[in-house]
Amino acid sequence: MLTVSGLTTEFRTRVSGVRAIEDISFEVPQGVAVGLVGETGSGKSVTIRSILGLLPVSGHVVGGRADFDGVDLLRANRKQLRDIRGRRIGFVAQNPFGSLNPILSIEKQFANVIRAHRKASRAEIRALALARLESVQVRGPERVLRGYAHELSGGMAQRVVIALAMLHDPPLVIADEPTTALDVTVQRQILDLIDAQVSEGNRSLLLVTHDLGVVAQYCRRVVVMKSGHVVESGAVADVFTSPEHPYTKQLLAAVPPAPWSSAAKEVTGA
Amino acid sequence: MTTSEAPMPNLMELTGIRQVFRRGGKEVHAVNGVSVSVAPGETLAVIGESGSGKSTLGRVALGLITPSAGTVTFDGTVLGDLSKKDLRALRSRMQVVFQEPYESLNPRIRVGDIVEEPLIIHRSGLSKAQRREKVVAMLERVGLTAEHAERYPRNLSGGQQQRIGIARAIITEPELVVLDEPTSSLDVSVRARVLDLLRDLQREQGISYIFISHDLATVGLISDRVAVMYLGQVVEQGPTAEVLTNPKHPYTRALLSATLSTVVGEKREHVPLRGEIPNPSAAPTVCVLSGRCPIEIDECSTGPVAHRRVGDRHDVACLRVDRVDRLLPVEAG
Ligand SMILES: Nc1ncnc2c1ncn2[C@@H]1O[C@H](COP(=O)(O)OP(=O)(O)OP(=O)(O)O)[C@@H](O)[C@H]1O
Ligand SMILES: Nc1ncnc2c1ncn2[C@@H]1O[C@H](COP(=O)(O)OP(=O)(O)OP(=O)(O)O)[C@@H](O)[C@H]1O
Ligand SMILES: [Mg+2]
Ligand SMILES: [Mg+2]
Repeated sequence: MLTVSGLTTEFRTRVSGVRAIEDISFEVPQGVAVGLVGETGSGKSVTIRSILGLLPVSGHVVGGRADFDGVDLLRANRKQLRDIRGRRIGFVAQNPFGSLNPILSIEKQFANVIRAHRKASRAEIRALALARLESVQVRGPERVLRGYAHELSGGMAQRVVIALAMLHDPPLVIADEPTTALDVTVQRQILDLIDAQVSEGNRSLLLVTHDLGVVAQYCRRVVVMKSGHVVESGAVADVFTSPEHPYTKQLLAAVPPAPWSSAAKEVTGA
Repeated sequence: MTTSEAPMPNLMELTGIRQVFRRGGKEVHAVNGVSVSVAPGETLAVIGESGSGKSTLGRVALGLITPSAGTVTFDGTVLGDLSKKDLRALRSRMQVVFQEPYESLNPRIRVGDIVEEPLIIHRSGLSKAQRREKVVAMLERVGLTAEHAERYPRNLSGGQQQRIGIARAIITEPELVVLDEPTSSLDVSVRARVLDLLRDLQREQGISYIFISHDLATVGLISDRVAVMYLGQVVEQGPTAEVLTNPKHPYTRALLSATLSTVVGEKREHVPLRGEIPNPSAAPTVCVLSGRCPIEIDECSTGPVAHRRVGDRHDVACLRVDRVDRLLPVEAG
C-alpha cells in the first residue's frame, strides 16, 4: 500500500542544514495497522510530513521514495498531492487545534473537506457530519457542528479531526498521536472502529503513538525510531516479545506497571 | 498520622463549582457542583471522561475564568473577592501547563525567551545573566539543551514543545501548578524523567500540583489523591492507591478496566458501559451514569445521588457501592 525507502529530510537554517531523519524505510501493507514509536524528537512527525508533502518551508526531502498507488509521493506535484490527501490518505495531525480553522464553524470545515473532493448539498453534508461525529463518540454533535474549535475540549477536537480525516473513507489513514486527549474508554471505542475497518482488509493504518499498549493491541507491525533513524522494525508479536535493539529493550522496560492490575484480577476472580 | 488529627489547611479549595457556557441561547453545563481541595505539597490528579470538565475546572482554579457558581479559595483568600490587581498578584503564585503545548506558546518568540519571560515578570531581582543561567539549567532538567533555546516553537517536536511549557511553568518556583495532560507527547523514559523532576521540586519547595491526565499509570506514579470526573461531576475521589486498586464507582471501574495491556495478545477483560453518551446541555438531576450503568436500579434515575464515604477520605457518588464488587468485566472484543 505504502512503501517508504531511504527517506532523508533536512531542515535548512541560514548557516547550515540539519538532518532530521535519515534513510527511513518501512512498509504499510494493505489491511495492516503499523505502529510508529520512538523517542520524542526522533523524527516521527517529520517522517509523516515528508511523505504527505506537508513540511514547513525550511524542510527539504533530500532523498528516498514513498510509493503509494503507483505514485512516488515525494515527487508528486501539488495538485496530485492535494487530490491524494483527504481522498486516498486521511491525515490526523499531532496538534488537533492546529489543523482546525479557528474562525470557521466546525460544520463549515466538514463542508470544505467534503466539497474538496465531491459535490454535496448542505443537508447531505450535515447528515454525514453528524453520523461521523457520532461514530467517534462525540456527545451533542449538533452543538459541536454549530460551534467553533475553541469551544471543544482537547479530546473532542481530536475526535473532530479524526472524523474529518476519515470522511472520504480513505484506504490509508496516517495518524500522529490521535488519542492522547481521550480517556481510555473512548480511545478503545475509536480504535475498535478503525480496527474493524482494517481487519476487513479495506483500510491500512500508520499510527504514531507513545502508548505501547495501543501498539500491542491494535498494530500488527511496528517501526521503532531513535535519533532520526529506524532502529528496529518487524511484527509486533516478535519485537515486543524479543526486542533486539537496546533502545527497543529500554523502551519496553520503561513501561510503568499498571497500579490497578491486582484489582483487575480481583474483579475478574482470577 | 491518624484520621483524628486536625487536617492540614488546604492551599486551594474549590467549593460547589459550576461552569455554564452560553452561546446563542444554548447552554453547556461543563462543570456541575464540584468540590475538591489541594494541600500544600500535595498532588491531586483529575482523571475521567474526555469532555467531562477537567480543563474547565483547571481554568477556574487558576482564576482564568470566573465560575457561574461556587468559590475558589487560595491560601485563605477567596479569588472572587479580589480586585483585578490583587488577583494578578495572587496568580503569580500559580502557574499552568496548558493541554495544547503549541497553542499556548507564542510562535513569534524564541524558546529561551518564552522560558525566561516569567522570571522577568516575577523575579525582577535577577540580572539578565542570572536569568539566562536559570533558563539553560531548566531546559537541561527537562531533557533539552541550550541549543533549543535559540529555536522558535514551531521548529520543535510535539514532546519538545510540551517540555517548554513545563519549564516555563516551574521556573519561578510557584506554589501551585495546574498541569493539563503535561506528558501526553513524551516517550516513556522522558516521561519518567519529567515526573521525577516534578516530584523533586515538590520535595524541595513544597509545590502543590493539580495533575489532569488520561494516563492512569502516570497518575498512579505522581499523585496522592485522585478525583474522577464524569459529565461535569466528580463521581469518586480518594487516596490514589485506594481509588486505583479498589475503585468503588462503576464509571471508575469501567475506566480502569479499559486500559490496554502492553502484552501482545493479552485481551484484558473490561467493564462495558452501554447506551448513548449523554449531552451536557442540561445539568443532570439524577445519577450521571444512569442509562449507561450496568448495575443501576430505579432509584438511580429518580433523584440526585449524594456522595458517601466508603473509606479514609474516599468518597463515592453511587447508590450501588455495595454491589460494585460484583460488577464483572467481560471478555474484550
Ligand atoms: N521546522 C523545524 N525546523 C528545525 N528542526 C525541526 C523542525 N521540525 C522538527 N525539527 C526537529 O527534528 C527532529 C524530529 O522532530 P519530530 O517532530 O519529527 O519528532 P517526533 O518524533 O515527532 O517527536 P514527538 O514524539 O516529540 O512529537 C526534532 O529534533 C525536532 O527538533
Ligand atoms: N469556551 C467554551 N465555550 C463553550 N463550551 C465550552 C468551552 N470550553 C469548554 N466547553 C465545553 O465544556 C465541556 C468540558 O470541556 P473541558 O475542556 O473542560 O473537558 P475536559 O474534561 O478537559 O476534556 P478532554 O479530556 O477532552 O480535554 C465540553 O463539552 C466543552 O465543549
Ligand atoms: Mg511528533
Ligand atoms: Mg481537557
